[in-house]
Amino acid sequence: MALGVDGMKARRVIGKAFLLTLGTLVFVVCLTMVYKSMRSVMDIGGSCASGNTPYAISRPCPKGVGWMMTVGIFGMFVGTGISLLGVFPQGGPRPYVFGWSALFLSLGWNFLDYGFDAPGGGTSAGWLICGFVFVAMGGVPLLFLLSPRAARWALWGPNTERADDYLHPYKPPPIRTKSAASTTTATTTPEPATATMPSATSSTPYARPAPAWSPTPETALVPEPALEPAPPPVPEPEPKLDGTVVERLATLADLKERGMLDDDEYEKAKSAVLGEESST
Amino acid sequence: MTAGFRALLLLLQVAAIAAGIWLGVVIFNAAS
Repeated sequence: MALGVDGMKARRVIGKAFLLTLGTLVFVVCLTMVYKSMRSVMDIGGSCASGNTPYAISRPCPKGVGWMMTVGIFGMFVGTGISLLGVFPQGGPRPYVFGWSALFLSLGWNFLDYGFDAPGGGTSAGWLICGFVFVAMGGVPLLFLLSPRAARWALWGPNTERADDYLHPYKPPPIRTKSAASTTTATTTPEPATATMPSATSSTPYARPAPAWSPTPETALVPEPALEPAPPPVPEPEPKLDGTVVERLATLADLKERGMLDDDEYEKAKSAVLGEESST
Repeated sequence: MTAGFRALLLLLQVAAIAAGIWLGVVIFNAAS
């Protein structure tokens, strides 16, 4: 872990944090330029022209608006890309999630602001419609913030806790026979957790602790009694299908529906089940 | 990723937004 990030070197952590912040900065600078340029154009009626053209320009654009609009619009894409490069998969904020809403809510505010108070006086229905549409486009996606889990993901990042299962090795449950279970249930006391944990400072850190049932040296020296010859295997009775006729028919129908039985096989099996039932 | 580093990243984003608005206005005023 370097600088609070798992599995990443300090240099890479700093680089990603820089990119994430730089991307946000570039996006916001460009959005602010577009926002201010849009207002300056709306101040003069909402339309303008500039550049080399054979036509006579009746309403030239305010100074600097031409390049600021162009740079601003494309710069927002660039800023989002830079920000995406800096996102940490381990967690942290995802600022690009808010880019769409920031764009449409800020420009939508401009439309509403000038729509209710148009430069020529009164209201402008066209701008108001644009304003409501933009605010809806930017605001509806933000409803995901109502979900605490989603809001946490966007602002705080996903939970990526370090896998520490090696500290808690899996212990299968003890296998007991019925007789042993009945005699030991009342007398067994839970073992302390430290009894089965390997010591971290042990000279053999990967050695498993001795299982509780392992034979002591004394008992290990006792020769095992000779095994009696095993009785001949008794053929087990053929398992009978469980369930009622209805359940078996339902099972067959399910198998047919899954494609494991075709129509002929299904009909044969069905008639066999019905025939078996009628014979009993 | 520690909570402290997440908080630091979040703080950096807030600072970047504030700085971006200020810088955008400065650029606009200088260009217009």
